[in-house]
Amino acid sequence: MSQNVIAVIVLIVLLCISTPLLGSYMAKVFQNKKAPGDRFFLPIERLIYRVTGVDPEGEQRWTTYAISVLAFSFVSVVVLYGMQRLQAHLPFNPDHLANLPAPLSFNTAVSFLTNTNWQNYAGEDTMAQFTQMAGLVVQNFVSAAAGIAVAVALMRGLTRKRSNTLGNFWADLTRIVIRVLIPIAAIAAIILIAQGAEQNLHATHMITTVAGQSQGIPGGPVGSQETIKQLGTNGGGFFNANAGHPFESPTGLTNMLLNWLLLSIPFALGWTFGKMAKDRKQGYAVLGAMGGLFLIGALLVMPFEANGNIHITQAHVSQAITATSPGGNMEGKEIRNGPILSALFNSSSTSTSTGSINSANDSYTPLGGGVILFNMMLGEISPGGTGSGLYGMLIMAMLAVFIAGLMVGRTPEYLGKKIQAKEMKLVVLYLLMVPFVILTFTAISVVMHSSLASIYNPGPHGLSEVTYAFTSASNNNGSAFAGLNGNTDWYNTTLGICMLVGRFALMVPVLAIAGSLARKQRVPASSGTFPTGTPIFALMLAGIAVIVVGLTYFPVLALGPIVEHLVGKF
Amino acid sequence: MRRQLLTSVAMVIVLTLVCGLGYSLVMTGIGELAFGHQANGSVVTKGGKDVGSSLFGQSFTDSKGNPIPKYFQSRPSEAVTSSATDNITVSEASNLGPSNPLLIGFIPGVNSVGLDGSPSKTNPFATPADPFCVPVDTTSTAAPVTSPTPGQKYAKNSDGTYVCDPNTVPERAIAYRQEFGLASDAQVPVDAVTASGSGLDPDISIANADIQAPTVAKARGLSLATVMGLITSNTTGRSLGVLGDPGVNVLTLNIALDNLAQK
Repeated sequence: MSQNVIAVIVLIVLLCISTPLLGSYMAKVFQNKKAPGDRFFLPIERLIYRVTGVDPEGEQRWTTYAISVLAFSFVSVVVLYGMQRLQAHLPFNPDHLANLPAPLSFNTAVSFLTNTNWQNYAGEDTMAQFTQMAGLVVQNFVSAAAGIAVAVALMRGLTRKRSNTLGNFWADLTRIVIRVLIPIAAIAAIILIAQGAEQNLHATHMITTVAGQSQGIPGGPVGSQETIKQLGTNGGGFFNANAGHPFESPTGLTNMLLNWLLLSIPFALGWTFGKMAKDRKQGYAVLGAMGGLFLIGALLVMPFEANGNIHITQAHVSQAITATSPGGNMEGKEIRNGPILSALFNSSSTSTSTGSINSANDSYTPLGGGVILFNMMLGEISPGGTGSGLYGMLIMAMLAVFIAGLMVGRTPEYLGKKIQAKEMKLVVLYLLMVPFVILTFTAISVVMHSSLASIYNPGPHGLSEVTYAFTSASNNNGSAFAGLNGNTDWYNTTLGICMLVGRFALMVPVLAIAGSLARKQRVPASSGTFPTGTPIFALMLAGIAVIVVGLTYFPVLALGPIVEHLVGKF
Repeated sequence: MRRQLLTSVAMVIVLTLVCGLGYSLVMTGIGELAFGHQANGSVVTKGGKDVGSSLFGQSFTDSKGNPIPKYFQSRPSEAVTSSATDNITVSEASNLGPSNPLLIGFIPGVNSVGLDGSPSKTNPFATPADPFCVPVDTTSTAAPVTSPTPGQKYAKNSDGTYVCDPNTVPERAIAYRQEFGLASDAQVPVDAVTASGSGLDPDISIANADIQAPTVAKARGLSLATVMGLITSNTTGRSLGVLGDPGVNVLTLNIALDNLAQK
């Protein structure tokens, strides 16, 4: 127990160290300044620009930037879809896995493209190694980089004056992949492999166990995929059990490394924001709101899982946490992670839009699972996904200054930019899109006979399963209350739509806001300006996020996790 | 638009080569060269034959699924053999919710139902041994019945009590106490009666191993001290002393016991 507390503190300390270091480094990369490693990275970048015919200096307006994102995504989804449909004929398929059916290929292609990484399949016997490496890993990199690029474009919009342009998407994409994602993922992968993560191209290794049974141990390039899956807040596991699988995360050390990886970039981007705004306090305020919401979520889930399931105590099952027993709610959890660090991992993974799991969410206690659901409902801003977390939080900040402006009767400003009717309309569009698709599809799914058949657990827990699925897909998280059978035509299609809405119906308004703000002049701060680099603003930002989410989702949370807790006498 | 699409095609190709195949294959090369044992799945051998992976849990039961007394027993598992390929072991969790009777049994006043399926304050299926019993039907698969309807047929024991679904936590606890000779109200460590998230947990808790030790020692004619010593030497501590929770590796422990017997 005390060691688990130290482990939680270790994670916080790691984040406190990595946030300024990585944040400053990324600011240099995004601003095209001299950065460490130029001598190594510049030639690679120039080669990529030459091969693809990209002019890295070619500044783009917001519309061109958005079209570049959309065109790149369109080509990606077509390629990924094709790869799954044809994998039986492609190399690196030692287990001779079959082609995927069309609805599942569509769902998976959209899922990895949108950084959701929802999985309606078990990796072991579905995805060939070629599809994993050349399809899914690529999207793990580029969907993360595209999210960061859009956040960078928004930061440029907020900080440039009278500018028509937001930078070049292709150059941003290349620089983020080459200078940020690949180096960190590669170093982490080596640590992971040294600890026991698999990294090979073998077919399934058939053995006869000690007790004389047959066992098929799957092979594959696991470690390399695992680290970018975490670093890019993707979350799609090589195997069905995700980071609970011993080949994905074999030890307590790898569990901590993976937990840090998924939080590292989203938090660091808050620091980058302060750097690019040339006002560190603006970064602190955003980081304060992110960090506060993150800690509250994690600190709530951990005790619920550590206390265990009250109903099995009557059967004389000991859930006490002792030196010789992990204790707690161990259904769906691994010994090496224990209940507290499992809860920390899954809470981190739902606070970011990662969605990887090291334990089964569906078997969490009602309120532990409820908080995990709430983490996603916040809209992935605590600290959210790579890039999407920061732009989500900045949109929330615009709402916060608008509300503050209404209170004092002044035109709201953020970083000296007037937030006017045009921006507010786009902000409201951004905020309503996701709840609209979640609640609509959930409501339809719980009245249709065919979709009700997918529910696995009876009672209010079943509603939680359905709500969780649409919340996860729409917020591009990808974790699941995995009892729900999502591999049906209804769920493959509707969840696919949710993922696309949650990605592109948010990215485009963000870029439109960025374009509109970039054109504006900076107005000097006056006595009527609500200062946004203060602890009060951080508090207000977090408060508004919670209130908006609370008002939107309280009814469905009340009918799902809260009713289960009360009626189930937990 | 056309220009953006052409650039997209070029970018997707280049990035597929760089961060898809390039990155994955370079990492595979490094892994194979520097950490071959781990990269290839931490395979363990016994008598020159591969018998598993020290990270990949396996069960130590006979062909009927009964525990083999001379071996330490792993946690319950939901891992399955792939139906698509017929040989790959696929990781799987139970995904049972915390109030699902298939997990916790019928708890009177919480999730218990009467013979007609309506909520009930008592569990009509209770047996003297298991007050939380979930009955099974009379089909060959003995499927648990959680939403009874009038006229439902139930499997019964020779003494007239209901046959209970053996996979609930209370039933697993009863079986565990019988297997390892504990009193009927003895506390059972939670990991011994719950399935892991992967179904491949290679570890059991130290408390769980300690309870199993006398049975294993007796079945092998070894002293308890010898077996306890092997538990200690096959315990994986927390990484760096603080990260994660300690566990006893069941496969390496059982192999160590077998090797002892051969000497």
